[in-house]
Amino acid sequence: MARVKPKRQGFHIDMTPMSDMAWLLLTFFILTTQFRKPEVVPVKTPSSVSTVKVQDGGLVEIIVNNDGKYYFGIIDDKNKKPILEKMGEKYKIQFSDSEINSFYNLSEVTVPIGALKQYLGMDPALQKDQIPGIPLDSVNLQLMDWVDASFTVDPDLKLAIKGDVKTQYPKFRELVKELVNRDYNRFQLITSSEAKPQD
Amino acid sequence: MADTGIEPKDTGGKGGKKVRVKKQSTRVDMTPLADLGFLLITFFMFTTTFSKPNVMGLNMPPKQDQKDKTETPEIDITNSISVLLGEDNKIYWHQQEQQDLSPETLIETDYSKEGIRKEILIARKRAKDAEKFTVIIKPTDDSTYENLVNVLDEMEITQSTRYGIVDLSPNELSVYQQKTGKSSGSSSNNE
Repeated sequence: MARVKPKRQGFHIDMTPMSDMAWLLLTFFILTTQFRKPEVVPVKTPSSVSTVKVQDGGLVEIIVNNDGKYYFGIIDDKNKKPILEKMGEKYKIQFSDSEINSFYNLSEVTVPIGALKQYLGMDPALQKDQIPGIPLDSVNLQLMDWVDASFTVDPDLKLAIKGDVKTQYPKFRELVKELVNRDYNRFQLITSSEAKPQD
Repeated sequence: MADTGIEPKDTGGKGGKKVRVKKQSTRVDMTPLADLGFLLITFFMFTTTFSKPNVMGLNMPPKQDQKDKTETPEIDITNSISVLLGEDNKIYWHQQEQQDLSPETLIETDYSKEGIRKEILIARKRAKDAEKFTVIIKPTDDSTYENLVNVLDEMEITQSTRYGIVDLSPNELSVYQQKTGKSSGSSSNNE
């Protein structure tokens, strides 16, 4: 009698659990990722050795670009509407629902409040070219009104300042002076990372 | 891999009997699916963690009345170093009383490791009271935001916890202008 040859089995591992796990993790990452909205104002931040990462929410951001123009960014979506309404109240501007929706898509406010209504009605493609900045000078402290409005809405907010490498110092001093004048003394300077030198 | 070869087992029974097909296994190879899943995971992990910028805390002193401002306490001069941030990424330092400051004692250095960092560390070693050693940062109008961040960075690296950002005094400004030759009314030997 010939020996019974066991039939050669294909080598199979059941990949289903692995795949399940992979997709579960994937779902988690997709849901937790917050895609950054496209930045309207290009800013190259200076680097620092600080290892503290910027916090996820609870932040408003003042951006100073290389021309020394100021912009105001509201990071949390939930704060956007109340802050806008506060500003509207102060400047007697009524924003419609569609304009508020359009405001949600902005990563930062780039125009003076007077021009904001028109700006929000514009085609997003055209909005990109409109970056005149928010006034902050001796006659018009509109940027401070944005800051005030934000802190009325949520007093626990943190204030971040994002400056460009080429921002002239007087612009920064002006900003800090006005903020300190209104008793905002703690800032977070946003920088990109750099390795801490070993010594 | 998904070996589902059909082998008609029985071709025998010709009379009316249907040909029985061996039951196919419905097993699908999951490997590519798992691969794709992990690939996407990797992508999302990278985009979430690495897009975050860093922050650097900066606390400014609360505002004071003009009256108080004039009465800033005098700091022992060895316990402090003044760092002037100039134009074109230049940096100067001095350890002089206001009235003793001259273009000779305002020393130019740079932002490198051997530059301002060394000077700060040396000055701190020399200080009578290292605990109270203070770095006074004085950015001129010609400096940039990057210069300021770089100096704040040096504070972090040299672990100087006591520092302040103030404006230049008029005397320092004129010495700085003499040093850089930017003075408007430039009579060369006016001393």
